[in-house]
Amino acid sequence: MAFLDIKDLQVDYVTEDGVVHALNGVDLEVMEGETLGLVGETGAGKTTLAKCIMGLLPQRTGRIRSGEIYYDGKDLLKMSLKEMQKIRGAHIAMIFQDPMTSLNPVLTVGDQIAEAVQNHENCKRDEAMKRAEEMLELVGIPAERAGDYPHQFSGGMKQRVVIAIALACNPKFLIADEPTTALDVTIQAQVLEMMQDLKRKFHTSMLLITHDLGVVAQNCDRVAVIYAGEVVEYGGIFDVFKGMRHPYTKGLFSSIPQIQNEVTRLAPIPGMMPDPMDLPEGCKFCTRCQHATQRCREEHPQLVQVGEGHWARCFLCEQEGKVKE
Amino acid sequence: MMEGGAKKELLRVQHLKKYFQTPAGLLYAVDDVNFSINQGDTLGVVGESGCGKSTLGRTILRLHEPTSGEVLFDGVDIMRLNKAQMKEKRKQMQIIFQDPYESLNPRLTVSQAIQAPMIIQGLYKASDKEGLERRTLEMMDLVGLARRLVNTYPHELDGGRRQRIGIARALALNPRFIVCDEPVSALDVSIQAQILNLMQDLQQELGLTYMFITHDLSVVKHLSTQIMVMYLGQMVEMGTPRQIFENPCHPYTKALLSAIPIPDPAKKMERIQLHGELTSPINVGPGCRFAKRCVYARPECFASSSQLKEVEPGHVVACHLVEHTVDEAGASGLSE
Repeated sequence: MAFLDIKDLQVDYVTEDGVVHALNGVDLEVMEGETLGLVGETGAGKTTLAKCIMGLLPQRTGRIRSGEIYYDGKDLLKMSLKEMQKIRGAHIAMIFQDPMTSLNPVLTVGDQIAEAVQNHENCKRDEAMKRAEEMLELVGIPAERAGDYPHQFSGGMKQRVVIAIALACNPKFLIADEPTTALDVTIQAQVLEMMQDLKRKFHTSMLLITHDLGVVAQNCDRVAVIYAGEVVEYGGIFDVFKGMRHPYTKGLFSSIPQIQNEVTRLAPIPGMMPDPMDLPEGCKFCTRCQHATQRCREEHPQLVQVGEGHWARCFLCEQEGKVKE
Repeated sequence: MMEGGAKKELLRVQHLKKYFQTPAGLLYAVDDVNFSINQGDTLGVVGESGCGKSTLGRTILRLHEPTSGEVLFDGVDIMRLNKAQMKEKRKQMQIIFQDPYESLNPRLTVSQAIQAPMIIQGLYKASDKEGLERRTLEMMDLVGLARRLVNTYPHELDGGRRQRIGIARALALNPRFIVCDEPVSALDVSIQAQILNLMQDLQQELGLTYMFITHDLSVVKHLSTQIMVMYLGQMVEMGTPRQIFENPCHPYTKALLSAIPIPDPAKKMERIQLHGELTSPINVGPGCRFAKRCVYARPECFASSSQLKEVEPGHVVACHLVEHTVDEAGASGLSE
């Protein structure tokens, strides 16, 4: 059974200039204990999805048009603020992208971890501080540094602190939104390795949001590729990386210079992502796709099963399998 | 990828040093760097943030005045040029900055941004509207910006287009040498590929020489004829992409390569552990700067710094543990 089940999620942002269609019917399932990678470019809707799960959509502009997010049998989108606050941090925690801005500069790191603990567990302050020190040790920072402020830490260390806060209450589900994008490769490797270890230790399920296909390949069990607010392909990591079917997924792979193969010229995807205020009628990718036909421009493709647990949203795959209802 | 003996050397950097005075002590941002670039080649400079790669690029263009050292451009030491002579030289040496969101003046339109360097350098008089416009449209065509965008402001454009303005600006003066300081780091992969292809095409078409600064090793491998790996202000290894990627000799290069996530789930990474993080470039002591993080460090590594050694023709490494494998023939132009 799915641990977290997202059904037909549609989200708009209402702005002065018009309505931005950020998510257009996203269906995703995260299984217990697995890491699901969510890949896409800027503006594809990755972070909006994470915010919806956390109930952090900006109230003034964000609007959920339809959809359900089931966690433990309950729809998160129907919960009251009070109920949501109990879930947030204790059951579902989030690691934000930029460790430089996601910590409070005027509180010590120990205080910030202890705050998360005290919010959810009925404990005294010194117990919470003790827990904070344990968490620091767990992420590889000496406990003595609990009294230090964020500016006294380097980027990689700050991200470790952010991870310590997220894990402080033993969440069952972790959302990591580009957790290593702001870090150097050697530090990225250390942080990702540590996250994998902790995940195994606590049996946490994880949604790993990234634009780096390398990070996905090395850390995820399954992957979903998102484009203009829609999942265009998803499946097991081997199925998607070795037998990708959607033209956008193929385009992503041919855009990156790869260490292993010698390519003298990259094959980028032409053009740009469509304006989310004015999306194409049919397939969202039709404006950049070299296989696009008249039908692609008029009719919206559904996800088609192209293999065991492997789905692609493209008419080219239509003959092969059943259409997802 | 062969090193053509016929190629002419365009830039030679000798003993370049740039130290910054900080309250905590001297910061060794660039410390005795030596290299040369041939005309039409691309030198890729890689390293982690804080290793001094951007400072190196800027010091070469005298956007920072160096503490000491020489930069020979076409045989002329530009560090000895006076202000007027330097301004003249800048026509030939340009830079493309990292962040297209911050490097453009938000109050200038595309055409004003592209025209500014031409007016400053006196290529056209500000009154020569017709000439300026013709040249602007020419530049926009060259970098693939639609002509209808000529009067738009940067905030109306996306990152890829803004970076094209940055490139058009740099090219407007017909330079021969361009320092590219992380020009694609702020862009999405599909746009990044478009810009990289554009830069390659322009290099071929105009015979440009690039110094390409980046932290992305796969981009560097893709573009460069020579790669230089920097660590805390110093060059630790330099060679052709093949030498660096197939036969990395410095423990830091090895660790850096092993940390790249491979986009193939079948190939699991075998990472070489590094202790801790980049140490501070302030008040560095004697010894190898990498020794504190190095798994192979031996006592001598902490005692004295290592000289560059040539391990194969054109491939130099600064590490105590690397033996001279090239015999008497190893008369490198770089090591002393």
